[in-house]
Amino acid sequence: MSPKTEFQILDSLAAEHIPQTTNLVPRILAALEPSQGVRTMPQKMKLITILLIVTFAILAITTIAYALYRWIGDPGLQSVEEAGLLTELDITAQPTILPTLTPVSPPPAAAQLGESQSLEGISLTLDWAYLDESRLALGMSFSNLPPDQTLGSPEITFVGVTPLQAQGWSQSLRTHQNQAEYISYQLIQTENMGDEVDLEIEVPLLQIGGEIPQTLATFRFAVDDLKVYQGQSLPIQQTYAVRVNGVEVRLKSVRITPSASEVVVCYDFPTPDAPFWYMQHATIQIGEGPEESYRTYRYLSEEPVGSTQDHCVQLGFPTGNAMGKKRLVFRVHKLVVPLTMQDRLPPERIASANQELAQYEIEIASAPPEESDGRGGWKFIRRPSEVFDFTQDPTLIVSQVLEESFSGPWEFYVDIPDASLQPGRPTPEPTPAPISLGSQTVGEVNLTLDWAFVDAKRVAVGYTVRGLPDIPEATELLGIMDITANQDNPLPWSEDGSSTINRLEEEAETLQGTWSYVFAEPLNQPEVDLHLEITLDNTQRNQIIAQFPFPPEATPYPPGIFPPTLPDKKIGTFSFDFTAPVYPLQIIGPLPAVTANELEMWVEKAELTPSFSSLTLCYSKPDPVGKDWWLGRASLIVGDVEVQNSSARLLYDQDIEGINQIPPEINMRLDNHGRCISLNFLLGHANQAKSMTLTIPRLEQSMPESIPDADLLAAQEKLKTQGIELNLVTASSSGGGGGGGFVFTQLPEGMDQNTAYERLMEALGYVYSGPWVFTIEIQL
Amino acid sequence: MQEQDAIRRLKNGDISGLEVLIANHQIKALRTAYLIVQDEFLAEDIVQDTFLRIYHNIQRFDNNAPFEPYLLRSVVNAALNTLQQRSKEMPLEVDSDLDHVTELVSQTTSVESQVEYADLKRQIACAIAALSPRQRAVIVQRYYLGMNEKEMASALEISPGTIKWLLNAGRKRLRNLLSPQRSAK
Repeated sequence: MSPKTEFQILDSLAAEHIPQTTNLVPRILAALEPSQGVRTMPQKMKLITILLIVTFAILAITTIAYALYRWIGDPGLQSVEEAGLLTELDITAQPTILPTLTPVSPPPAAAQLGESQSLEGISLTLDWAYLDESRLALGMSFSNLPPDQTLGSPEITFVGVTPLQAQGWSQSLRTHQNQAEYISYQLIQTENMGDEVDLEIEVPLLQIGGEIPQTLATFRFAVDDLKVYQGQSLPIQQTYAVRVNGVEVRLKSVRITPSASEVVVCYDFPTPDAPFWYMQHATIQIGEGPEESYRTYRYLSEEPVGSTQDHCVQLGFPTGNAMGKKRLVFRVHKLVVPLTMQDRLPPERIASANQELAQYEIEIASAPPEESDGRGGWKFIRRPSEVFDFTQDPTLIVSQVLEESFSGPWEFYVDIPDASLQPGRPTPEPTPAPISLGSQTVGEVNLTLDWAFVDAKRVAVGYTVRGLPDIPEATELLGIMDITANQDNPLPWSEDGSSTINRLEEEAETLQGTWSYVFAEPLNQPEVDLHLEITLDNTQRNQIIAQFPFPPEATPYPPGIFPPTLPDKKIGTFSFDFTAPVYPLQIIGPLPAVTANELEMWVEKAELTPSFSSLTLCYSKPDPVGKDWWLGRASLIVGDVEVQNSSARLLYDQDIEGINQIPPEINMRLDNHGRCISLNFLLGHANQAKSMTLTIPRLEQSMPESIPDADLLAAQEKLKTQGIELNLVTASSSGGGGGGGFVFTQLPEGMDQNTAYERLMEALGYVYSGPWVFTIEIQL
Repeated sequence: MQEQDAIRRLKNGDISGLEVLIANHQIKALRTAYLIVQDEFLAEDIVQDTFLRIYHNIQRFDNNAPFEPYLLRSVVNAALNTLQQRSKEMPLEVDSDLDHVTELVSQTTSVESQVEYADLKRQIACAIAALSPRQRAVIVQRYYLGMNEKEMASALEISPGTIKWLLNAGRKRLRNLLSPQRSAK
């Protein structure tokens, strides 16, 4: 063994009596009396410094979904269709058999192991293992497991490798199928270690039924040379941490059986001056089932489940996953500072509570412990005579009013591992068969290309799909659209585009859609030959062709809960070649400047096509000139159609290095702190309109990464007077995902989220009001 | 939050600064106190009182001075004071037990097997428990807190010569006594 230092041996001696998890913070802070003049700064006021954590895992889905949502409904395409500019197709094409795309790195199959052990009459087989840079997945099967015994969570040792950023685990035990899956989330750095890892796996056999499970035996497996996939290919996620107004809750583990669930979760104390914060209300929801509150609660502060600052609890729920659901949602609703019978609340606290209790016909007064009716030193003066609903129990209501609380919810989404998790399981390949011109069939699915449109800035197509199953709950058509000028000449895309998809009421199992994208560089030829590929494929959730319209009366799926997919499997790729005329580009400008609120702005250049408009605007930034003054909610009106800009790009800013050289296409002299922005609209002149109107209602500072506490508090107070209340929430997921932002908890009747967000920007002082209105005359 | 920032906040009345200081230093402080008083509950009381005292006197603390030595010195003195209040017998006699412990502790760098280590650890625990509190404080300061003799003398308010003598006297004799014991096992 390695030599020990004197410090190590003394520390080891003391550690037998003072474990690393000892935490004196609550008792020391509780010993400080507020009357001593301490000015506390509650943690909930320490607002988050990172406003928006964006990483690809979740954002890849949400961004595309948001973008598509934004693009649904395309007045520009509608205008060109009404103007008769679409091209009727006459094409010949053959379908392409999957796979048509070459993955960057092919995802590996799980390592098939099949190692078995028998202990205490029970046989356990480690069937397969899979490891990538952020996830470890194991599949196990067992036999002869009696009802009063269970398998505990595996303990994993990565031999010679130190996993980083452990972000919890989940385990699903399916006793009726004698199978179990386990997945843990951590970071394995493959640099300097090769691409293989040895694992030591221990699975305890537990006797259940008593207060604490007893370990009967431990199965031990050694997995040598397990390949580490340098990527992420498991389609499974789990929220790791959620922060609401500065208070973070971290999900450490989820263990689920057919009849019960167990969650270990750690959390910050919302205020440091309270001796203890109790997780009073937490629920679990499996699939679409009801929310169930926990039945067992165990505080784990004395156990090595986290750092010394962690307050962790183990919660038991009387509901499991007998129905093979794919996801669960764990919610922490409320933290409270529990009162004790020794507490004696001050009279002013009792008086303020009475104001709130009046609606329940309850009145209380201070009382010594021996006369108290409840914790906190109080007794009833008045109470309802008969109560039939236990949630209206007067003692309970008084406790809820008196106890200091901090409400969430903190929501965690967990993909429950199951047998389908195993990577590398073969999937059936469809057999394609062409039937007619402009229409192709792969398996039972037929796709017809109905029309195409091309102008110098944009290409669009319309199509009909028949034969997909009727899944009304599906919200998206999954797959990939791709267009090239020909096989050797790709057309660079910009960020803009649109897509729509609708179910035809008059024809079952029939969908009709449109899809378009904007070229990065305008086409300058009168005609173009194009190759279109449409791949219908449900295996990559972040590849969305279009979203179905969302009925206003429908209840949205909560974040992290995914609806069924359409198609419900890989279908194949449909490819078409066609020729279309290219409608030309018109360039106008510069236009006369417009002044509003003492700030001058002008349109330097307008690039217009029948379906698209790109406008370059220039202005000098107002005070404070160092801020990122952006154009807020610009709109373009052509005829009776009004749209907001679909995208924008910063072209020039005198104060930002790298883009502080005036572009050659901008001729006018810019004043100090000048800035030029390109605004894009999915609306053009449709070869008909004589003019269009551009409105810039105001300038906005972009939301900073960190909002000073005082600024946000002041804004919250100001908004409260307008009936708007909000929380600042951030969340992170295992595997690197995350997100966050403002959550409006109360809005005045009729106010939408966008308007509320504008009010927030105004309250924060991030707005410079206009409006600047431009009329653009078009010479057709 | 950096430590200096925590102290600055605490000086400004922000109690979250104290939370940071406790979280960062409580384990070492608790173990220091335990090694001296040999009672984990008493150690918790001592560390709690020490933090509360520091909180009340934080205005006198020099922002540029390192916090941990200041805290641990306070903990050692608080532990000694607590035991002194509980028992009036706090002699500063030096007996062979101290030499025994120093010898044992100095051997920790050379043990080669887990069994040997566990055995030595048990012997050290027994030997430390048999010392007087003042003697335990010397061991803790020298070997656990890594203080030099001058620092120890200053902290315990005794002369450096006494400290040196405390730590070195009798080692040779103890080594002779100890070797047959260990080889006989």
